Amino acid sequence: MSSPTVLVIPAYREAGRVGGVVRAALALGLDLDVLVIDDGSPDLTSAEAKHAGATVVRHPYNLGYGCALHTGYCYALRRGYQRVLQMDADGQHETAMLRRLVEGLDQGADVVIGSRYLEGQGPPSSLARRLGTRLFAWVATRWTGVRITDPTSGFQGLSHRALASVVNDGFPEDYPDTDVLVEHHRRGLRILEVPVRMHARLGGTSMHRGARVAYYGYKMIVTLLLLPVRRATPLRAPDTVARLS
Amino acid sequence: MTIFASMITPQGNLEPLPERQRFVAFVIAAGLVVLIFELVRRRKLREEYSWVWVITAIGLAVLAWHQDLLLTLSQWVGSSNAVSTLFFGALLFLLALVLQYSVRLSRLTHRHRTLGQRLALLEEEMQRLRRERAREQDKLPQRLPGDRDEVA
Repeated sequence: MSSPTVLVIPAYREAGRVGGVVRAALALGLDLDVLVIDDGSPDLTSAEAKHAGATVVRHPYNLGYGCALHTGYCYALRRGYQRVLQMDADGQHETAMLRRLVEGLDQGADVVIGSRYLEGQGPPSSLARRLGTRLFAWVATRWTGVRITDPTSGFQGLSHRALASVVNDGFPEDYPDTDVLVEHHRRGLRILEVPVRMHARLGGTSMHRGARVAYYGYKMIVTLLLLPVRRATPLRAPDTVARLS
Repeated sequence: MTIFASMITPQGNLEPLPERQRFVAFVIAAGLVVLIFELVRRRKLREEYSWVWVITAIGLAVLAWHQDLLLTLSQWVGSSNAVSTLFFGALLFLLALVLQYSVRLSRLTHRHRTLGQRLALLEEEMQRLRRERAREQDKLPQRLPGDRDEVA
């Protein structure tokens, strides 16, 4: 560990893009380590990320976006990092906007969300996705009391307090969005949204596509309905990944 | 209350299971037990998954053997004939079985996820420790074949 901050980039089949993202992040001069979680990609994602200067943790098989993030959080906690930044590997998130996340954390926020909708409309997306985003943004805003416009944003910054919370094994393995934000609020963490610029993906496939959009809606509604009464963790011992002996 | 009362009082004359159907049900139950034991013997089925099938087969055999029990059960569930009760029981059994498998699958999925994550983190840690050890060894003065330890 050479810096108190780590940038976590979950990546699956992102060869051809992840290297550029890592290099751009390191070139910012923000004093951060870059960690790429390769979620079992069959291509050269790991090699490319390593070559660009990132530390790589590679899942032995594909576990899902949420799992990749969770592994990154666990790595950060185990290695003693004080802050976590996270962004996508597909070039959608503009690396220069990482400064805004850092500034948000400097202001005392525990969770900083980079929103594509605070300034402008963001890159084009399907009607179903736009409607879903509006619905869950409304739910998140009502529940947390904080104006949230982009609950599906994976461009975030977390304080050490937030990090200690998200390493729980109950962290969602597929879509960690509104439910996680509500959970942050329930744990008393301070949430802040900052405007960021996002672009269309440089390639690859989105995890919000086709029938998955319908499943996303169902899953999020069920999770939110059960959230107040649900057991915190599926295994008896919490944080089994983060607290390896 | 009316429902509970109707469960206790006899409802008309239920047709008993014909002899041929009793025989077929008994043969199926016996065959199922033999098949389950054979699968366990070949280690293609674990004991922990076999007991549900064995109990079902025994239940089927008991119902086929004791007509009165099957007729009472038919009366309880409001079935018009005994064969429907057997089918109803089979459907319930399959539902319970699928639900049990879904629960087990969810648990296994979580364990599989945790295992994959821990393996990934340990692999990274092992590689880092190897690199650190290699760096430390590079810093140590090289020992040549002719060098001797000085003894006072």
